[in-house]
Amino acid sequence: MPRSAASYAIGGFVLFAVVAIAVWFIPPYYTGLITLVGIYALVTIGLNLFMGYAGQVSLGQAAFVGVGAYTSAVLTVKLQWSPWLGLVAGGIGAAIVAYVLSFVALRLRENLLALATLALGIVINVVFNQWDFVGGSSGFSSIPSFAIGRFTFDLRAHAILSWLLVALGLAFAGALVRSNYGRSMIAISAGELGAASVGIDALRLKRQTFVLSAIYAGLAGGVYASYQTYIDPTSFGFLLSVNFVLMSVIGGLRSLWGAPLGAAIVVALTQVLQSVVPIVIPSARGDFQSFFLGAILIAMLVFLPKGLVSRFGEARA
Amino acid sequence: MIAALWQYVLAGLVSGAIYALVAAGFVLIYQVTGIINFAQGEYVMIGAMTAASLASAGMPPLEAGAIAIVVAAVAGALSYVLAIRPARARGAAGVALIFITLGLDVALRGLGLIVWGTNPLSLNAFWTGSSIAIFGGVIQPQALWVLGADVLVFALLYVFFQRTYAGTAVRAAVASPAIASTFGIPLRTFAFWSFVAAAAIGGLGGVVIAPITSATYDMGLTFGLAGFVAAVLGGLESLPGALVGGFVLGIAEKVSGGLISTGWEQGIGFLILVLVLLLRPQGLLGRAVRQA
Amino acid sequence: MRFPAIVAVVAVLATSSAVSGGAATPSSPTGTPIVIGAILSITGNYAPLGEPERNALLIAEKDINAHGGIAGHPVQITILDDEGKADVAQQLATQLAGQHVAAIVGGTLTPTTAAISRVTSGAKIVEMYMNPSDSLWNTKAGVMKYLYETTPRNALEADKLLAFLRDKKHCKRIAVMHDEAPYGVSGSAVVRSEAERLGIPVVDDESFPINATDVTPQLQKALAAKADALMIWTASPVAPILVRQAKQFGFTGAIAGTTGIVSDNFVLVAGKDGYGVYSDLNLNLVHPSPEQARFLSLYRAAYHARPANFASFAWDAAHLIALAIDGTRGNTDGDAVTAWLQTMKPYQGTTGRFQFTAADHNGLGPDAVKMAVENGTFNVIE
Repeated sequence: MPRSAASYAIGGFVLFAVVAIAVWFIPPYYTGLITLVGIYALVTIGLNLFMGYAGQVSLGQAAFVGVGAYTSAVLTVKLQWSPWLGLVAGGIGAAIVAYVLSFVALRLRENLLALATLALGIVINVVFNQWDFVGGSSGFSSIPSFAIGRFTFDLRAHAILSWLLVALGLAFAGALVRSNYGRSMIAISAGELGAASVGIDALRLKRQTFVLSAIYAGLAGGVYASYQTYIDPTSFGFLLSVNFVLMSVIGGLRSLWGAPLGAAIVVALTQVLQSVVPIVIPSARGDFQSFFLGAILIAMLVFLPKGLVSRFGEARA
Repeated sequence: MIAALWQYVLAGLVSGAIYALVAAGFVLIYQVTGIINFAQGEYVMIGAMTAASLASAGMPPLEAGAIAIVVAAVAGALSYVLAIRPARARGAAGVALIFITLGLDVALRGLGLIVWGTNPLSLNAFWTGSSIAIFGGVIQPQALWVLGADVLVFALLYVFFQRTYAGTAVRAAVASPAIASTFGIPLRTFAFWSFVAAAAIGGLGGVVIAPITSATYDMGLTFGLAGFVAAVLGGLESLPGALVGGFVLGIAEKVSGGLISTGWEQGIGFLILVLVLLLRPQGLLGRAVRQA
Repeated sequence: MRFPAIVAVVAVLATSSAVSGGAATPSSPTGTPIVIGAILSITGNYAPLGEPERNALLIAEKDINAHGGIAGHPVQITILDDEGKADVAQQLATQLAGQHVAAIVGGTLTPTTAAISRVTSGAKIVEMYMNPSDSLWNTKAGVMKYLYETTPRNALEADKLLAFLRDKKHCKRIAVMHDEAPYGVSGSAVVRSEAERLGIPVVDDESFPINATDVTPQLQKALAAKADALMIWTASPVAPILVRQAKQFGFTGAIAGTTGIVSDNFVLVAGKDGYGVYSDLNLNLVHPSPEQARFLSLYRAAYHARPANFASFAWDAAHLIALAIDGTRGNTDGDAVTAWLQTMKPYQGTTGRFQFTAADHNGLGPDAVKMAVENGTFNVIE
């Protein structure tokens, strides 16, 4: 039974309400984690639109988060813009970069598209590292936090903001996939020749979805910059892009609910594994949790290729 | 100026030699299975780390190296058996396989972090002694081992594919899988052995380069990414392309680092990749890519 | 059908809350303990830095308690791990601030310290950190009131090394080789300004990524500039590669590096080419001062190993905080503690002689840095 667009909006706001209430009761450390999950979920919603619905691949999404973060940081630190405008500018900046890059990348399919997005993501990261205007390897610090009037956002406010954006993002994406546009996206993923035969301009649609996914990532980056008040190139590398793919696949590529679920699972698992494993295996160091996350990714793709959410609902065409 | 340039070329040959080995692994797997194995670089790391940790426990370096190559090969075998084969058996294709090898890459790197942690490990050079002068430039004796490994591997690959029955069967299977299977050519066995061979080649690369660069936990990512830029540059369907691509990339990195700015050494490879994908996706030595 | 998904998301978040996020469980207190928080990079890429710091803090805690605690109260050091990540460090600092700790020891790295200090400056908690970047407390906007540094700052190191190269090795043309991480970038800026102050020309300045496997272009340019000394500023594994390649290219000048190059990996990878490379150390393991000897024997008794050079910074941080709160008679208010620190009498720590002032939150002099040379291991030479 196809789900209505409204159900995504309602569900999104239920989720937001749960978070908004919960942050008053949980320790600050977990509030911070929830904010991060929200930021990642926002990116993953966009990624699911591009990868799950339109059937493409992006291994460089972290770079768009970085573009959004750096755009916001440059405007708020160097030009003293309000972080709210910086947030919007972050989304726009990422959109512009994605639009330009789409001319390079989107002519390619599957394997080569994956490689192209991977390469472009790394090139963008190298630019962050080498360009002194954006701080080079030292990045930006003292990025102003969000504020409404006199109230500067604290931990709780950031958590609420990030999940508000997730709710809005879900609502918009939900409306999109339930519309004719969404059906066109799915048609492309089934086969571009077939789609063309019913008059769908595949290239244009792919480009639009790519830019849309970049907007989601750029907005997330804008939130990240003002939340952390400090960014540097190491935050937006290839490994984060891989993490986003993990979140997408674990939650379910062609599922919008899969985005917050996948993000929550990856973040929670990382925390648990980082605490528990070194006790059992003292030699473990660094981001070793990627062993388990990679194994889970493989297991999911072998046994549950449609992701967790498909197991429990959200029947797909 | 010319002396510096020649030195850059020499340095580029050494790093290019490793890129070529990694690229050969990519091409081997891609040719036989159509899969781009994002985990290829981690076999280099496994080879290097295993050799270094065995050697520091007292084993003679050549022995440690041999065992390390076997360990890497086992990792390749497990990659196929635990990830690729079950996925394909359930009909995974295209994008899903890309994600699986990505998962493999992440998992192998995580495994390396669990076993060896983040500390770099060192391995003694196989030949010690002062550097060797070549037309005014210098290379270390270990670099000869690196170049030698290239010669060995590519020679073996050439002989296998061009001069043995098995190799010819593989080439036939690659050219027309459907017809090959009607002849009873075991495609899945070839796929398995391509993973084993690619991993062993990567492991060998790790063993010979470790005395020069140390074995570090992130070397898999560095060499893997460079290796597959080299593979695409040379042509994903061409083994000689892997060799050419590796050296071209290595030299391009050093020369651009020396002449333009050292900061761009890292980026030049990916710029090259983007240009190749834009202008000549089949690579320098590949034939035109069939559109899916 | 959407509810299961929402429930699942919430359940995952709730369950992760139930599992430890890396916090150490405090032991049950006897009396009202004074709690000092510590945020170190114990896991992650910089574990070799964080672990000795943790070890030093654990024996410092015992040592302080064995000598009467702080103003009669037992001291309790809560050690948390930021995994080398600035965002984790910030969250942990917020957590500690919420628990109203008396002071914080941390961070290990520049970005984590910056993150923690954003919290401690607002919460008015005294913080002592253990990396050589003094720009963290000595900002353009003035001295950060609650932030102190127990590591000899970059300028002290640079001065020692540069003066040695100029006076003992008669070097006149320095090439700086630094990594692209904040440590290398800020360090190289300090080297250049100190070299200018000391009248030694810097003829070349090259950077390399921290995972570089070959530095041919950088070295060729240094050689082309006719440098007679190389100053290496990095804590990455590139240092021994650089030294080896420099020797291969026939470099015969002096090679010196920041204390960041001192590691077992350097000695192993550089091999014979590492002999004669200069660096600097704080702990003199061969002829320790009385305080150093005490620290060394306690460390050896507890861990059966030599402490890393920089473990002393953590030990000193803990003792300085204890001293300060002793001095304020148990008043842990940030303003009181920092006022005491800024007017303290000199204190002989294991790193050196500390005396903080309102303008100097590092408080160390040239005596804290000693020249060392590598000849199988790094040993102090004067």
